[in-house]
Amino acid sequence: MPENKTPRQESSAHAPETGTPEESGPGTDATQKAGPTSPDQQKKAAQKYISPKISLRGLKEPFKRADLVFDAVDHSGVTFEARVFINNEAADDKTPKTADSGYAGSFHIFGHGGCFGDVGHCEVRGSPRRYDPRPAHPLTPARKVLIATPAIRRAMAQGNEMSVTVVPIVRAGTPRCDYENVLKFDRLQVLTYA
Amino acid sequence: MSVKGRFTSPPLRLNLGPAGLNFARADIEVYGLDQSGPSYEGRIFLNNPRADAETPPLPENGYAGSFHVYGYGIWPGDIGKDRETRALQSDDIRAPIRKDVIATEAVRAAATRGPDISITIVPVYPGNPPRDANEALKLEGARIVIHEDDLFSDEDAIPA
Amino acid sequence: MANGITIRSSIESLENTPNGLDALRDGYGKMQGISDNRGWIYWSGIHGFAQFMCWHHGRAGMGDLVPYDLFLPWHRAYLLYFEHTVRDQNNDAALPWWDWTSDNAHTIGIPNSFATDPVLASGPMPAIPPDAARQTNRSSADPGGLPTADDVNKLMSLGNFVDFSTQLQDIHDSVHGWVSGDMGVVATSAFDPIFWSHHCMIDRIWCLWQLQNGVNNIPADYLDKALAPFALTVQGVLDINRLGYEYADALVTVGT
Repeated sequence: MPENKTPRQESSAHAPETGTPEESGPGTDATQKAGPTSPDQQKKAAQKYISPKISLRGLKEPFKRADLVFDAVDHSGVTFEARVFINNEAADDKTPKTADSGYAGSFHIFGHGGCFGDVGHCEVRGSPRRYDPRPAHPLTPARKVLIATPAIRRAMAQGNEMSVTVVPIVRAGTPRCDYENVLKFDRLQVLTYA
Repeated sequence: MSVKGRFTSPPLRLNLGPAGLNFARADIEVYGLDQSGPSYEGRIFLNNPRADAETPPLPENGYAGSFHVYGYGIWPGDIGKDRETRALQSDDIRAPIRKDVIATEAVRAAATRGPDISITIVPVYPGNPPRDANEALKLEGARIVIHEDDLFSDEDAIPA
Repeated sequence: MANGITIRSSIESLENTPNGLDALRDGYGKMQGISDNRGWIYWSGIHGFAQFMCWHHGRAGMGDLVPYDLFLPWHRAYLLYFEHTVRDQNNDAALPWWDWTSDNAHTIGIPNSFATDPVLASGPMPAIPPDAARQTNRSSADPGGLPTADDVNKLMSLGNFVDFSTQLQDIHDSVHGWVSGDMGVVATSAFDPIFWSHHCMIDRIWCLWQLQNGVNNIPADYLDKALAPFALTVQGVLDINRLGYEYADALVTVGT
């Protein structure tokens, strides 16, 4: 973490329960949501996420660092790279990872590969029971921090608002996984540090 | 070290301190005790080398008390091997242990009759003895430890 | 469980309380039907077969020259984790202790509920070559052979922790041998439901000794010892109030 890390400016966007899912690959057929998936189904494109417009009015230079923070990211399924693009809602798995295409960086999820236990095994407990000394559930959703300083600075130069598009690229999984609804998270924040 | 069925020590000469027979506590320590096999009760008799599983555990028979072995019974790496080939390292959790039996009055009674005391240990099994019962009682030895006073210090407190 | 404090009662008390054992039965029953790491075989397997993480008697750990005995703190941590795991299935469950010194125990031996109820009388065991998976069994001896209240009272006067632990551990060993069968050996004992109540009694005796001799009465070099695989050290388990439970001879709950 940078020294004197005090979030000074913040803009945030909440991941909508129903985002604006779009296929990032070829056209799709209906897929199975549960149960074993075939190799063909495993090759199906994962749905990407497109944020609503995020206001950048609250961000002021100078700052040394700007992060995109994804809270409560699900990591129970496939392993994937999440490519993050700013102001490029048409980005997909073929979009080059360049500044010109709005590429801000990637975060990676090392997925658990689906549920290998009995019913309830992969349900994350709510608030820990008082006096419970056990570690939190292994599937407690993760917080991913993407340092995206140049990309956010470019976005600020482009205007007062931006969109964030996240394209999941699946790297590995098992037949127990959902290969389509890969990216799930609760909240997206933009944080800058002086 | 291997003993089958029963252990009897040679006569042990007690080294009584200034308190003489008025010691506060006497323990019988059984050390290097194998715990890798079945579970059993180890009955201790003083000056009764003929004691066996049928001998009533009473003071008049020299009964001094019992220790209990909670044996490991099964070890994955030993499945299919005989006990002699098991390699027990010092930090193996099945490594031999020590048992301390508080036997103050039994030792005092034996010491009153003479300075030399033999220790006999008889293994007693719950229910039917296991097929390896004859080999269960394995130990390096036994001794009597006299505590002159009842101030049991950390120096005395070595984990069994 | 007001304020989150779990009250551990005796089996006899719960047997005499309407529905007293229902939550425990429900929790144990559900765990016995689960095959993943919330299940009976997984948690029982931490003690003996196949993980053998249990601590009995003095031994040196990695790099240590002087042996130490974590029997009491290790089992306290084990019971704590296990109880929370049972409570994941039924939040009202609490481990009951088996008072093997009681008049009832010296008359009938195994408590009635643990002798007759299918969930309490035995537990599932994994396959241990050459044996197939099966339920646990017992071969208990004469009830008169169980430890007496006098045996336990004598321990209370032992002021040194190591001395006390050594003697209590022998009583503990004797009860395992008394129940016999799968409870009789380290490898398989924890699969028997009575194991947890036996160790609850052992833990309770330690707690009573601590009330007389001090919660922190333990060699200083024990305090930072880890109680693997639990995220606790010896220091962290000395005070049961900080762990969120207590022992009571009887519990009557009055609703508002």
